[in-house]
Amino acid sequence: MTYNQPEKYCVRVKCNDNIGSGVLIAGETTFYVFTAAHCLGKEKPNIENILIEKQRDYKSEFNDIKVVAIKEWDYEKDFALIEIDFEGEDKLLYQYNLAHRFITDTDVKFCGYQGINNNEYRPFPSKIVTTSDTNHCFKIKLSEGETFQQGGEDGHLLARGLSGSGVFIIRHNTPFLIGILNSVITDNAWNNDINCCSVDHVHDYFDSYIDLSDLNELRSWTENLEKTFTEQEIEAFKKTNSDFFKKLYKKNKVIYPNIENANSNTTRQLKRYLSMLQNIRLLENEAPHLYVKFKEIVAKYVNLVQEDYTRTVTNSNEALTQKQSLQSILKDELDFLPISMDIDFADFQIIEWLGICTLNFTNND
Amino acid sequence: MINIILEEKPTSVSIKYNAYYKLVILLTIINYCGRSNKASLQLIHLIFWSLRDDKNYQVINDLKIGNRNTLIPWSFEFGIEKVLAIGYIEEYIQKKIVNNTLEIEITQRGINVLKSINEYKLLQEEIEKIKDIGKIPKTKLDRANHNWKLI
Repeated sequence: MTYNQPEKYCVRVKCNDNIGSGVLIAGETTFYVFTAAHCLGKEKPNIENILIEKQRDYKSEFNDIKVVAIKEWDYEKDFALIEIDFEGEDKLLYQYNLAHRFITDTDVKFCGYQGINNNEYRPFPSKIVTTSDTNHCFKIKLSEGETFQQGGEDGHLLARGLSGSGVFIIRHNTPFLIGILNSVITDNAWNNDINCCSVDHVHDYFDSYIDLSDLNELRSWTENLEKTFTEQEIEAFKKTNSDFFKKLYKKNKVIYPNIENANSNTTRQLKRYLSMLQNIRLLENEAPHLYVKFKEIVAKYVNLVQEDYTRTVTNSNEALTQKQSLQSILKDELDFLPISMDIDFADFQIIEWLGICTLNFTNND
Repeated sequence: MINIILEEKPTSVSIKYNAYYKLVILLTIINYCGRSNKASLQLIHLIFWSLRDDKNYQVINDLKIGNRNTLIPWSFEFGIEKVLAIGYIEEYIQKKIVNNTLEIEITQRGINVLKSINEYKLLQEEIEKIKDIGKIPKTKLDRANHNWKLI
């Protein structure tokens, strides 16, 4: 089963010999299929003639979805909103959001039933080329490597059937529906461009639109993304059961009382440490005399200052300052090492000391 | 209150820095890579260098089997003079002048050390690697080292 991908919301729409694609949307009290009007024919059809079907995956059987009413129909702007009776999988539909106002060059994905093989859906990666907020429409272009111009066929023949496919922006693992596919440019499907209409057309039926062009929104996505990523990394490090990680993490939790800071500092330190370790192995290989000198100085230094730095401080800020001062003096001691290697040897050594408990911070409350 | 404790902790040092480890490697190199129990300092440095990592080893191995006939920049082994000194004192090796160049010869005492190392199956990985390289003709080495041009 595909996990929260546009494929999950894709349906096939058939009506009076016309065939196309559509996308499921959850409203407040009921469910809808949003599709292109021309997929249903030139005239507004009777609901008995509309056949909407859904697959669990691209190879599975089609299940019928019961049509209740045609809520919106606009052949000119080429969209239709069909109310459906859809019970079993209502949870599924609340996993994505609707969005309007988005920025160009954003990657999008759509999924639909291409006429040349309309028994299997296929997702297509693409990019937003340009938008028109006043007309509630936008244009997308197939991503590099994807094209409608194959085997000498006219592009519109290969693109046929994809009309009505839902176009999604994926942010933070969540799909956002922004519109549906309408048409390609002339028979050749020039530039692999596709005209689309926005979900703004059916604004009256849904109230939870998200503005994806809002910079604050964007920033909070990035922050959230980073936070989840850090948490995942911390979990992954925990699973490795590394003694080094445990000791480092324990100390960071003392120095950074805020758990998010402790998490992000620990993952960053570990990544820095591992990448520097690579370079230090290189130093050990290429210039063993420098490596040996580095280790000698470190050992002499810790012996010299261990009493100066062993103390009790009142709060985490002081502990942090103490750690920083230790690091900066060590840095001076190590300035004979080649700058060209671009390694902060003092930083490396402090992380190592934390990981092997040469340097220890413990709560005394 | 937060306690800060800084104290020296013993850390493990790679066996590569142990003089006796290096001595055994030196004896092995002379025994398996040199001609009639003798090896030049150049050969000794080069084989030590090849043991530092797999990339270096590959270069020497390719040279040996003829896949390449030049060398990439290589470096002298750190602290080899101390290892040689221990070797002379323990009489595992001795200096020999061959064709006006200094060569190091392994003595019977040295060969006996290697025998007992092998009996106890110690350091087999490194010894096998050195055995695999085997003898590299002096002319081949000279040619490989002659490809340097000053720019």
